Amino acid sequence: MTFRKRQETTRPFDRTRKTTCGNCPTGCGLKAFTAAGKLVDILGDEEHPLNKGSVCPKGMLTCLHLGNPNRLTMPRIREDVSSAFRSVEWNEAIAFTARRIRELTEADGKDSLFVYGNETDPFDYLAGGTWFARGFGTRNTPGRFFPRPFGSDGAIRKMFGIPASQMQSNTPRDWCNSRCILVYCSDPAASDPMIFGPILDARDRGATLLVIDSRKTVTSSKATFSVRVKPGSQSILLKGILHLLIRNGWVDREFISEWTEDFDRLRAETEACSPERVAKTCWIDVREIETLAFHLGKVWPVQVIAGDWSTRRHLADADLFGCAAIACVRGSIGIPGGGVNLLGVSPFLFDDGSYGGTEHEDARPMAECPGHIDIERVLAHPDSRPSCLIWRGNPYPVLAGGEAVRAGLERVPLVVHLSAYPNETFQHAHVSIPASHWMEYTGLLTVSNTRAVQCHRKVMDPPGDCRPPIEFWIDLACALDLPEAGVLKDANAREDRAGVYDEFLRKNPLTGSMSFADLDPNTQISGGVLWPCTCPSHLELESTRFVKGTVRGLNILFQRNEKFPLSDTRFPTPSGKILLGLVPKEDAFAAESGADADACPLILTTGFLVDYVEQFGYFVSDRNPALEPSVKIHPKLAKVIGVKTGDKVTVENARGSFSAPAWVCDDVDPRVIWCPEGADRCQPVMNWGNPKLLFDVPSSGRVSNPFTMVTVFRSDSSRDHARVGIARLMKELG
Amino acid sequence: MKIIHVSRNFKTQDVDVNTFDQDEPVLMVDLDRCISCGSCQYACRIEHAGGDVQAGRPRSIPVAVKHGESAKRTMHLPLSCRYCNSPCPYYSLYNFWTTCPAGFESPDQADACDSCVERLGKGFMPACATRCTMKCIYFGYPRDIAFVLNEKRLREMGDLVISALDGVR
Repeated sequence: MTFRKRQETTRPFDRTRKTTCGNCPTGCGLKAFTAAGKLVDILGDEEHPLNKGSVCPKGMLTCLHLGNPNRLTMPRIREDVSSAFRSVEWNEAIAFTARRIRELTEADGKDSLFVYGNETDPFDYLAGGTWFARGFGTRNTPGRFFPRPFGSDGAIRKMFGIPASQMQSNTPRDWCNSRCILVYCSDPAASDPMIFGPILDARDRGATLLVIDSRKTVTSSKATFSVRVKPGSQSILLKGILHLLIRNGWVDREFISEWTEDFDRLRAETEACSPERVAKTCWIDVREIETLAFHLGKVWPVQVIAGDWSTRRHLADADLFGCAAIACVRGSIGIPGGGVNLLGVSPFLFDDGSYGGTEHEDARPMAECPGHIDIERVLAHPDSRPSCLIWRGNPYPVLAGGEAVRAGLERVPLVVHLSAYPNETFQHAHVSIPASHWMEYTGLLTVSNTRAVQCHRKVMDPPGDCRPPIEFWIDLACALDLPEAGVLKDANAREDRAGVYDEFLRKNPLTGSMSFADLDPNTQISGGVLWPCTCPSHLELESTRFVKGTVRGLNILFQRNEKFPLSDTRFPTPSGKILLGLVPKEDAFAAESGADADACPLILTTGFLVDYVEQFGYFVSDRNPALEPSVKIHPKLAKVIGVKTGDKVTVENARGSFSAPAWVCDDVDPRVIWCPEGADRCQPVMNWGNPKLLFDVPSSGRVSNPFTMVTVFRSDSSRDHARVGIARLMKELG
Repeated sequence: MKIIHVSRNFKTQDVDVNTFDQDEPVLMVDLDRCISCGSCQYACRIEHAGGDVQAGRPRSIPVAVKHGESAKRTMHLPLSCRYCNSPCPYYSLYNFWTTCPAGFESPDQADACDSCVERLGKGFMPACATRCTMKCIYFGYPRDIAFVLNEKRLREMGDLVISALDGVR
């Protein structure tokens, strides 16, 4: 007898429902087993082409969210943040919000209303928020807060004609055809574990797995070859690799001459990045750069993976350009196993103020909407006077900018917060709207690591007065008498709300041919539909000489002899070729690193832990806060400042300080310390200080800094004692 | 039940699956794929919690492995348990550990591993093997395991060490 990995529960149940996990952008298929309307078990969907039956701890422990006693179940309002909340009915909270918005925007203008959005927020919130903001008349839609290099102004858009938020040329099922995979500044094994499966599958089939990161990660521990570089210098390493590829002739000349432009300019720009210079800047050895270039240059096809939800905010134009240029010069575009594969892509992430073409007829034209803004600059800038801010999840602990931003938030007269949990962002709100979990309503999942649009189905009823975000937006629009609010309210009143989602899908040219009914995993093939989906033939499984699709739609973009959807050429650029000449300059993090080098000689970087659920701003696991070490310190540095694992250390710079238990290990460089993000004082776990307090407000037009300069010492000893030791260590290390 | 770990990189003690008792099932953990996400531990707890999985309890699930009639041996599934003042140095180096070097045992530990008899009766693998994120836990009789190992050995060009947990053999 052979045992089977059957995803079946052994508990009694009366109903099985397939749905899609909404915890991270990976979008795994799930099977939910219920008995009398109560959830009894969650397992993976074996028929889903990405996870094939497995789920990560975040998905498996979704049950902890559903019955969690900490959940917010009633709307709450208060006049000012110093007074206590009072629980009210849903309609009263909406009426209160509408009245305050009306009062405040009459005095300060409609542009003083900000609807903040993170690109991994649920579709309901982003689509509804954009629809509401444009109908109301404010220019500050969620799309303007998305990272600039991923938008229409970014390097990828200039190279390929599509923005980086839509750039995933090969879907994960094709990755096993690759011979070399470069994972750039991402830790998918911790941030999106299931997307690491296809990468490991490729490695097990003989592909070389290369990892470039500023610390040792779970991903890099599984790599064939990994390089730990100085934080912020990764894009220079990419240029160094390009320099070696070109110098050694490890480039695909045929592809370059036929399908790219300005290759000579790229050669000239990378001329100066010799391995010796790059090695010195990046704190690595010349041989390490040569090994990376050798692996990338000697096999074909190669692919580059970057931009998971936790690190994409720190990717600058130079990073994305370098990743794409490596795949281009190796001629690995539009073929099985190649490509520039960015994670967390979506057809709806438009940064021009629209959300996939969802427009009111009398809305302000998009041209009036200026470009990218940073939430930190909105809050901290003296000229900016936001009167209303609507946001969701837990963005507060990951805001950079220290006390200036915190003080700015306190000055905002109305903060509306949609969340499932009383986290730290909740503590700074005037109105709290309880949000449904994705298992408690039917909705769309458009941000995806697999370039698919999928849907999640309602499995059980939400507790108390929790409702999906789209209901908040529709009710608020009705209370403010916005146009079209009634139409959407009627469509929303249907059981599955398919009318609302069909409207959004139909208006977006990239998803024009799919409907909500095509996405249901209970009646259709699991895995959703890949976009661009511009004609009915894209709703079928691909079966060509190169591709045997397991997901409906186009598995490989930019294929030879095929036109890109909605375009007349293979690449949707004006010339029909890839532009390699517009080499962006590295973002000048040097200005930051040069500041007060004596007082703050160490580099602090941050990241996420495997069980952090970004969607909720909440850790799903039941960690024991008293025992949770968190600040990673190299043994050499720990010896100098006299710290053992578990000792409390204080990390500080001019902007502030926080204290947390130390974790002595050699994952980081002795000149670098690492700390997980997302912790806040109101979590039941990891409720120590917030590392983002120490980060600077992003400058205009630059990506947020992935690191900041700090000093560290034992919390029960003096900082001067540690400073002497650290200075000596820095001198030793050069 | 025997437990074996296979890996290209980590070496302990060689075993030959063909010499095993062919009627005794084997749980095999492929450490080259394990990302220490903790799914196996959660799976164990969900399976044995009787539908009552709640937040706020310690995370560790050491599993006592029955060996023969009387002897019991504690085994931790691949992730570091974070029960002691963790992560331990071993965790830091390799991102997993299989037995607690400090010998801690969680007060919340499951009873002896029953290799999920209810699931086995239905022909399903145990919960940890079923729910493993990276599909690195296999369960079966030695001939099934030998088949999986041969496949892996082919992939790794023969450079593979198969080890058993000390004393289990």
